[in-house]
Amino acid sequence: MRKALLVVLVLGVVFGVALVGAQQVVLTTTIHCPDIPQQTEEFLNIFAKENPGIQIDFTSIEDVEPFLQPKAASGEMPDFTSINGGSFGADLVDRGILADVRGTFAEKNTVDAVKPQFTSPEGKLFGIAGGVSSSLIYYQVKVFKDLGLTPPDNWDDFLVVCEKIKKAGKVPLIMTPADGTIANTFWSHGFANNVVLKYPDYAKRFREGNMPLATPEFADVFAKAKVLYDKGYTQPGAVSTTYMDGNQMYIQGKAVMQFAGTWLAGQLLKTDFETGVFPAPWNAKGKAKVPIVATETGWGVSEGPHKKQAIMLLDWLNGKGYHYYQNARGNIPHLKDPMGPVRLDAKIKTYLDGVYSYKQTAGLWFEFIPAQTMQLIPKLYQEVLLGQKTPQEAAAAFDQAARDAVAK
Amino acid sequence: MERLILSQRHRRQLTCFLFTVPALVVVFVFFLFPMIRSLLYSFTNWDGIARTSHWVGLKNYVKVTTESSFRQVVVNTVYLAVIYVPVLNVIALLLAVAVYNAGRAGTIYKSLLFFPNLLSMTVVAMIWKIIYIYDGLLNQFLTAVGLKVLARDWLGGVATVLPAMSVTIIWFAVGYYLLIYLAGLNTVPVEIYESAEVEGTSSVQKLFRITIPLIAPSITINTVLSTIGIITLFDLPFVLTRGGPGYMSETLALHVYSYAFVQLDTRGALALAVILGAFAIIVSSVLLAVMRGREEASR
Repeated sequence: MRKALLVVLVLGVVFGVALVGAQQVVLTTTIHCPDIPQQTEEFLNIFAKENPGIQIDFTSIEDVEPFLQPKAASGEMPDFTSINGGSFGADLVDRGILADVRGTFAEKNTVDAVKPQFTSPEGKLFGIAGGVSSSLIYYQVKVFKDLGLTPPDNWDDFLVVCEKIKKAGKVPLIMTPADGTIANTFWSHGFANNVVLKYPDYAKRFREGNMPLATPEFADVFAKAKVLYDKGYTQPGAVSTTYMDGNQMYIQGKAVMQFAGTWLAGQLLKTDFETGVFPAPWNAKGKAKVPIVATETGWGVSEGPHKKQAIMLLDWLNGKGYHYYQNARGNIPHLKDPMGPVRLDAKIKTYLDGVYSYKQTAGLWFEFIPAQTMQLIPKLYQEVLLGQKTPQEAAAAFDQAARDAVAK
Repeated sequence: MERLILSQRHRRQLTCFLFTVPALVVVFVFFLFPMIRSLLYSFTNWDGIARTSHWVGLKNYVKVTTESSFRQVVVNTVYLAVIYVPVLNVIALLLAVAVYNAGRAGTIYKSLLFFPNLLSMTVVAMIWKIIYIYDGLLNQFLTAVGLKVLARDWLGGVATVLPAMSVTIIWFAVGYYLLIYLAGLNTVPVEIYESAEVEGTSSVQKLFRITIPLIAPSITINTVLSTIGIITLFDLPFVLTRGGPGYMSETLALHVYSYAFVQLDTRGALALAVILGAFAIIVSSVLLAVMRGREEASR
């Protein structure tokens, strides 16, 4: 009798496990979250708990495109993945590798301003932005007060401010051309203020290969950095300074201003000294600023057997689960209804309200330039700073590379 | 009877062959097959994702070799090879001779000199980055000893970045090559040195007339290995400089990475990888042939 009961029990357990296993879908999920891997795992677990039929197989990734390209080539795309706005994701959705997420709850809850960057030339929506981003100048409030300075409104005034800070024996601004992040700041703002006003259809022009870049306006995008470097307004050793080094320098008070993204607000606004923010005054005197309003790395869904479950996760992350992600990063929501408490620094909110009032805004570089030209930006800046290339030569080199990329 | 013996021999050969099959399969699947596929793909328009591709001949090769950055990258790689290989081998050889003659203390020296080799190149790069950055240890030292005028952005200067990188590689690699030289020195009969001493030969004469000719095979191995190592160098410039400023410290291997994973240009990356592979094979084969020839001639 006991034996029979034992057999029944074992069979029951085995059958039960098999049944649960058969019902559970393992959703392969790769998310770019180097700053919040632990929190990401936690909120994914919350989603899995709320959806007992779905088990999450989570991987944190450093870079999106280099990770996804071989996966796409071998037909092993994760069911749910981080994806950036721009040409790479657009290519994947038009090839039928990523799913078109138009009509999902996530799409309906997302503000329209961040959809074009995630839309392919065929009009398919290949992902949902993870937030809204911008880059701006962080500054030491006390130093500005002590020197009687106010946030400058245009490029000429900015140079005056830098000169006064330098005369006071301090480093005015941190420049970080040793890695790609200079593209988020100097390049994007230079492009926005010098080129976008003249060519508001810049994204389309880049796609079609007819964006004129061998021009004095575009050369000035590089020339502005050269002016700051030559006048000694940047930190010593600027050419080899990386993004991480630059952030640390600002946090340690080694410079008065740091040009960085809103995604760093969590770090840069929590310094030992009071930090304020102002829009980068890359505009000429008498001309309106063109600030940056761009997207953060978002999420996409692969075409495949688990598409339905992956869309459930997408809807959750852009709905009632959004606040878990937002609270961890403190970034700017991209949702019409965040459906939960949002944690956003008041200074960034004020900055954004100001930015939204501008007539013309522009995106960040990666949203519109061809992938083949991305690595050129920091290299051209370094070459210009060291006098190996003139700003005009840098502009011409970029122009050629952009045309070659489209021609290919 | 003869047939039976042949059969046994064949059976033995078959057994030997079967034992090597797993290794051959691994080599073929993970080494030869990808290499051949990469070579074939480099002549096509495969974009890294599509299931189909078309033959485009030498188009990808023409594209990567005519780009302005290519020449700089080749110059950097050759520069590093020309500076690094002789300097590293001279230092490693001299240190090996010194350590060999250092008696018991030699073991401590060996351990100290080999220590950097226990670290990963990424860790080495991070250590040297802390030394080279503007606020780093090197400039602090120069300032402390009254040589502030020499302080500079070592990794951000056109003239300083490659020498700075060379120093780092030598620091990292010298212990490994020193061990190979020590192994070579151990094969030299002590009696030869003893007779040389009786004849009043100086230390320098012993080095050039006895040591170097007799450890020629070690010199050949070290020269070829260090040349291949420097031609395929990737991790150090990747962490230390990302190839900058501009392309001033970009090596061929880093350039392949940049094509593949930054520009997402698979065609260019494959063509460049084939060029890099061919370059490494040709240079090392020529070096090997020349040095083996010299070894033969000196016997």
